[in-house]
Amino acid sequence: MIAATQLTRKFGATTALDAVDLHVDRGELFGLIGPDGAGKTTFFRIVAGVLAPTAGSVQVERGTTFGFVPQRFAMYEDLSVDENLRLRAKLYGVPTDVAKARASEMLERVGMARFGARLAGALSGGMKQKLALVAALLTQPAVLLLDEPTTGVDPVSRREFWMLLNRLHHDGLTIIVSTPYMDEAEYATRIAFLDRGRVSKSGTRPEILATYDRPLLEIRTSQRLDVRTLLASMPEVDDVSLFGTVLHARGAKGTGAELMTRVRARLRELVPADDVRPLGPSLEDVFVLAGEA
Amino acid sequence: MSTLIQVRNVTRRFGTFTAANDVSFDVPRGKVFGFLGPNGSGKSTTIRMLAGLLAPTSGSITGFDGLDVARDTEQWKSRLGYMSQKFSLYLDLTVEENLRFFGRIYGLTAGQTRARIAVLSERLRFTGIMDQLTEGLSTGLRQRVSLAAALLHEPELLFLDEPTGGVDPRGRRLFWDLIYELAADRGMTVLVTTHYMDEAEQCDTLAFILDGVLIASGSPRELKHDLAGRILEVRPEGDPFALLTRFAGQPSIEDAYLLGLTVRTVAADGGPSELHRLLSAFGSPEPAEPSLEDVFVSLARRRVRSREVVTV
Repeated sequence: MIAATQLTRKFGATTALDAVDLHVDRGELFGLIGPDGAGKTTFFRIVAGVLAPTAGSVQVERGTTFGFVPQRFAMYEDLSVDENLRLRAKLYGVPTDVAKARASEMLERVGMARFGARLAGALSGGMKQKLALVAALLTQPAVLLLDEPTTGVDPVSRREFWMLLNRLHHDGLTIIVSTPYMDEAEYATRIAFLDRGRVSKSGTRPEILATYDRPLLEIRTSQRLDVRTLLASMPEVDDVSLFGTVLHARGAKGTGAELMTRVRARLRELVPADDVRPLGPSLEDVFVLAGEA
Repeated sequence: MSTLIQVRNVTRRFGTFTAANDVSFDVPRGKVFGFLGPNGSGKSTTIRMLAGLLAPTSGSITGFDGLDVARDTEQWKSRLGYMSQKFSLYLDLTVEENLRFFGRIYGLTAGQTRARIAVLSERLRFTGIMDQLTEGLSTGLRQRVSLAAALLHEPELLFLDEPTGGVDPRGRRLFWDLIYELAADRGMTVLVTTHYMDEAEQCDTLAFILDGVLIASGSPRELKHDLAGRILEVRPEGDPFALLTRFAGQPSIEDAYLLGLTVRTVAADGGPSELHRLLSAFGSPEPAEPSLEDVFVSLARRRVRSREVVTV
C-alpha cells in the first residue's frame, strides 16, 4: 500500500532519512521505532505528502487517504471537544450531519461520550490523545499515521489507547505508529527500527528476535561494579550493562552456550553459580547490537 | 541499609484538592530510587516537597543526618543536585560558560569550579567540547553536560527527572553506567522520577504513586513477584482480536491484551491452571515474564477496585 524506495531527505548538512527502503501492506499495524532525531517525523511528513524527498521515492496506492495524529496536541485548548470536532469537519469538508454522527459514534467508542462539552485544554493526557484520534478519523481515512501518540501518557491509558488501535486495525484500518519506546514496539504486527535515518532492522517481533546470534546472561549480584570489572576483562564478553540489581553480559561474536560455564567459573568467588542464568534477547538488545554494526 | 531521607505522613493540599495524601517512604542511602507515577498522580508535588521547594500541609520530611526540610530549608537544598532532560542549559553559552555559571550559583570559588569541571568533563567524556555552543550539541552530549552541572557542588542526593526519555538505547545504557559508578564512588543517592518503564527497570527500589497515594514499593523483582507465573501468551490460528473479545469477563483472566498477533494474558489470583486450560483451546500457551508495565497496570486497576495500599 505504501512503499518507500531509497527514500532520502536532507536538511542542509543533516541527513534525516538515508536511503530508506520500507513497505507497509494494507491492513498492517506497523510500528516505526526510533529514538529522538532518528527520522520518524520526517518519514511521516513525506508519506503524508507535506514534505518532498531529496532523493528516492514513496509510492502510495492511488486514492489512499490519510488521517494524522501529530506528536504535539493540535486541538484548540479553548474550544470544547464537540467544537473542535465540528471545526475539523468543516475544514475537511465533511458534511455537518455526517460529521456529527461519526463524531458521536467515535466518542462513544473511545469512552468520551460524556465529555463533548469539556474544554480540550481541561482533558487528561490520555483523553487528549483519544480526541486527536477521533479528529483524525472524521474523514474516514484508509491509513492512520500516529506520531508518538503515547509519549507522556500513563501506562493504564497507554494500554487502553493501544486497545483502541487494535480494534481499528481489526476493523480493517491500516495504521503506522511511531514510538521511541522499545516495549511499545511489541504491540505492532510488524516493526522497523529507525536509527540515525536508516532502517537497521524490520520484521515481526519473533523474526527480529531470531536475528540475534549472541548468548546473553543475567547475573544477580550486590557487588555489581566488581562483577562488571571482571566480566569486562573476559575476551568472551563484549558488552556488559547494568540493570538495577542485575547485570547483563553479552557473548562476543562466535561464542555460544559455553559462555555460561566460563562466566560462572570466572565469577566463582563473587557470585553463586545459580545467580548466573541465560537470558533471551529483548528488542532493545537487538537494536543495540544492530547499531554497532 | 541506612536511610538518607524519611518521608512521614506527608499530605499536601491545594484548596480542596489533595495532591499527596499521607505519603510515607524511606529513600535508602547510596541506592538508585525510582519514583513512578503518571502525570497528575502527585509525583511532582511530592518531589517538590522533597527538594524543599514546596512545604507540606502536614507530615514531616527529615534526612541528611538530622536536617528537617521545613526548618533547615537552605542547608537542605545545598545537599541536592537536579537534572532533567528538559532542564535548560543556556543554549547561547558554551559548555564551559554554562558550567562556570552553575559554579557561581552554587557559591563555589573560581578555583573549585575549575577543578571540578576538569574532573567531571573527563569522567563524563566531554573534554573536547568545552568551547562549543551548547545549542549545537547532540542530545546525548547535552545530557552529560547537564549531569555535570548538577554534580558540580558534589551533592549527596541527585534528582533525575525523566533523564533518558527519548534517548536511544545505547546512549541510555552509557548514561546509567555512569550513574551507577558515581553512586558507588561517592555513596551518592539517586532519586529518579519517571513514567518510562525502561528507566524504572534501572532502579534498585521503586515507589509507585497514584491519585496522591503511595500504592506500592519494592525492587523491580519484588514488584514483579506477585505476577510471576501468571503471564501466559498464545498465538492463535485465527484473528487474535476476536479471541481477545471472547476473553472479556472470564473470571480466570485479570487482564488480556495484544502484542502484535500474540494474545498476552494475566491470570487472576490463583487462576493460572484454569487459564492454561482456557488458552489451550486456541493454541499452545507459553509462559512469559511480567513486565513492569504489567505490574503497574495491575496495581492501578486493583487500586481502582479496592482503594487499598499494597506493600511488597
